[in-house]
Amino acid sequence: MAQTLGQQRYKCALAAMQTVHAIHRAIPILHSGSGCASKLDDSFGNSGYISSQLYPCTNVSEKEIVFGGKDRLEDLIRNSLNIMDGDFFVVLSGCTTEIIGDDIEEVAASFQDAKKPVIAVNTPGFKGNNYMSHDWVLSAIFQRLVEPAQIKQKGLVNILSGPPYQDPFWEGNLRALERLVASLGLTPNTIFGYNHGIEQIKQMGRAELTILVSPWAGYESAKLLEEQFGVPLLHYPNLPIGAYESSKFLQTVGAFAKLDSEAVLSVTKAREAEYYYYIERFAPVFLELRIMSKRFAVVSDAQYSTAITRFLVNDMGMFPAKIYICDDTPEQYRQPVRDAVNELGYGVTAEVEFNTDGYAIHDEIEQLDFSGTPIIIGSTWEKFLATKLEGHFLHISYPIEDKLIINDTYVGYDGGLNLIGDLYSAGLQRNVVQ
Amino acid sequence: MAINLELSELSIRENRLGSVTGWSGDLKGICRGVSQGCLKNYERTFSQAGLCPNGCAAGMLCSIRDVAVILHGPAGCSNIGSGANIVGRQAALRINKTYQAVVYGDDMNENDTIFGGIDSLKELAEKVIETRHPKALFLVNSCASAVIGEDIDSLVTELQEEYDIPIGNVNCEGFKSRVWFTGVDAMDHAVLRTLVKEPKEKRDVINFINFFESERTNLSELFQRLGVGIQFLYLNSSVEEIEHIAEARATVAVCSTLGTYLGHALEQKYGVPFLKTINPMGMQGFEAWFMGIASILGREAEAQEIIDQEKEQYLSKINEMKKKTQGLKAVLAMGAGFSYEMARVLQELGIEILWMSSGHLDQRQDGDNIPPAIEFLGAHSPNNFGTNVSDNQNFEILNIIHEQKPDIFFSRHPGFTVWATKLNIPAVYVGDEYLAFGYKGTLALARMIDDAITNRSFAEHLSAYTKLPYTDWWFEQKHTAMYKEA
Repeated sequence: MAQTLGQQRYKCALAAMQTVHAIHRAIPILHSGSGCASKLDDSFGNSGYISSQLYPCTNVSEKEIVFGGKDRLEDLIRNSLNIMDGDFFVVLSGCTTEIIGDDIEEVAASFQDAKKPVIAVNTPGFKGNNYMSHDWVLSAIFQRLVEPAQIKQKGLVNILSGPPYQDPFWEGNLRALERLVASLGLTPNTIFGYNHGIEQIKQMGRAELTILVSPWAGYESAKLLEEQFGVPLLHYPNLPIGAYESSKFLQTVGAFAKLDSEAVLSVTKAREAEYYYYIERFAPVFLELRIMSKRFAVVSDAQYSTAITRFLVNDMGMFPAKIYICDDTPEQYRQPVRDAVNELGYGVTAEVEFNTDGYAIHDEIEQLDFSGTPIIIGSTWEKFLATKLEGHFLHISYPIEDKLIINDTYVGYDGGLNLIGDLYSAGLQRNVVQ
Repeated sequence: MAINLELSELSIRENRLGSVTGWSGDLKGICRGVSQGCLKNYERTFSQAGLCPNGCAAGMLCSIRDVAVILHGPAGCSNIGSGANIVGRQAALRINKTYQAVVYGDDMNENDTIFGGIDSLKELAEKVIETRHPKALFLVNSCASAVIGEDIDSLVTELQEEYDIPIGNVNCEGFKSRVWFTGVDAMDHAVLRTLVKEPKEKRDVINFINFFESERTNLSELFQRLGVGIQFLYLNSSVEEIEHIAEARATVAVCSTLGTYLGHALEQKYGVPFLKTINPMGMQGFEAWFMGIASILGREAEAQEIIDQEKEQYLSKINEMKKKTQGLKAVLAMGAGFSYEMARVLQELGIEILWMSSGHLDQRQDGDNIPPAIEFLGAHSPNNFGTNVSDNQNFEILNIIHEQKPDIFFSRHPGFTVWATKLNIPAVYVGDEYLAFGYKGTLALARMIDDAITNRSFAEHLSAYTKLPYTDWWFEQKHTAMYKEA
């Protein structure tokens, strides 16, 4: 047993089908059981173009388990190329086909001359979770599709972040990161969401740098761009929320891209001025809402635990009661993640616990001292807890069962305003409800 | 084939009920095949992701308010808790109860697939019982744990010696059956073996098998007039309530495809009669179903009175709406039971069925009878029409819609409605099993149909901005082009 999963917050490796799904006109082909896709696709919203019910899938039955499923997969790929209108296909294996030893790479290789690229990645559920497999899938796609380029395009910057769909805000976040990077005069290149697909992947090799905005997920594939395609990597572990962290992000990017520091400063100054204008307008609410306390707990993945903690502490003057990270962060990344969460000013520190048993986490939060109304930030699981504790709650990470997130984002200067607006609205609504 | 509750494994629908998942022809052909029990099953050389019986069984188990469920498998298989939790909570609120079920996964990793994970599953089970105090515990297997041959049966025996609460297991790996509903049977099987007690007395209660009980309040009032209370299964039920279901006067189901296993098992083992009529959708369905229950309970006079009142209240309004629905041409794609039931209801509204697609098809029910809705439609349909067994294959259904060009499309597979909408065809999602319940529901359905064909803004806008992910080549093929001999 890897972990006790109580109140589950991540999925198995095959859920990297969602990483493929987020690339416009990329089609996952599953060599797996018939129910895998439906179990793994449990959040609202699909790519629009397709949905998981349309993924070509061998729907493995007892027959394939006994006699092998390679022939069935070969038929499926051949017919997928005729029936599905996609730009490229990614074959993903499930548990059973992996255990019985079907070689999906060999089958995919037989389609080397097909009219569309067919890529294979082993993603059996037991091999890891979807934060990890996101990286495996991207690495395989990059290896096959990114075009090597000796001459780089001036100002072109690849931006990568955490796993799409696993991060419910993925699309809004990417667009916000693009706006931030573009504000420095750079040209962002991202590969997920509306009209972002194979062309954006191909040109990644021409970029002058890659920015990976993620504590750990996606590191291997971003590093691969550096090692195989000569695109230097800026690994930035914090998703920037609000003025303080957004300016810090822009300055780090500016320095890495060797931009004129005065020019960067003039951008951040202007954005900060606008940001604090809005803060100033609503500051009395932030200062005087009687039932809003200063202490918060986060139950989320490494990405949002870091981002939320740094924003609320470094920008809003709040304090972490305790931070729970539930993404089964690999051992080698745990200390760096603790450090990233703790990049806090004024001597404030955050106690960080890695745990995947939500029931046990909730028992503990019930005993925490919030010195006032608890603020609990996480998934729908935490909404139930916040209701029980009569606390304030904000949706931030998977699973979100009771809210639609279309292109919302908390990233950047405007994102920070959105977050603080939503958090204090939770407080105001409580006044209304109670 | 009689139900055997002695074994921990159940017999799958393909073997018990002659279920098929691939077939195409027409209504007459399917009725002929079913009557002889020899409908041929086809496989496909192209298929799209569907559902699995494991998800079905595990998901439904989580709807019991006070159980613990542990899924022995990788983190994808156990990813069922949050959806079940919110539905469970919302349902429980309606009856002033709390939903306390807990769902765990053991995050099976590569090491477990080599050396086995039974020991750690045992540890987790002990921890869950001791810290969460569930009223019963169920261990559910998965494809991975089944392939490596984990012996959960023995673990259950071992745990049962240690603890007082009922402990059971569901052996229903995802690849066990092509038919999603085998998962319902697997859950029923586990519940019957683990929870249901020998009856001590007869109680004035009927077991009511449904999905989401949206008509709970109305049904409770309706059946009060027949002198019985209702035990809804399984959403919102408790372990203690389920223990007593063998004491009920009868078992009824909102959909006999859903209720066949539990209903027939209770009948076979404990003599609780299981109602075998068409379902209560539409007017004919409601009368046959309600009078059927009344006759088991010996309350025909009261039932007739209720039916007359319903008619009095709604029939003229339905006939008024029927002027708008009359003559519409429809394609529908639903489950094995609902497609046949809904086709009948649409015909009551004067709608012509161009094509009917069912997810799978059971040739028999567990009482060895032909499913009543198939028999009824075969005998009463005003026209013969095309029908296929689609295994919920979107490419096949879209090909049919594209060819048939209906005025309206009806769907009951989650995620399917949008694809007809993208073809600018008004689509109605029949997600609520009570949508067309009785006279009142028939009127509601008629209104919904009228709404869909009247205000077409959503479909027109969406279809103008979207392209289907299928090639033109596919739409030039027959929808059976990917069939192959099984």
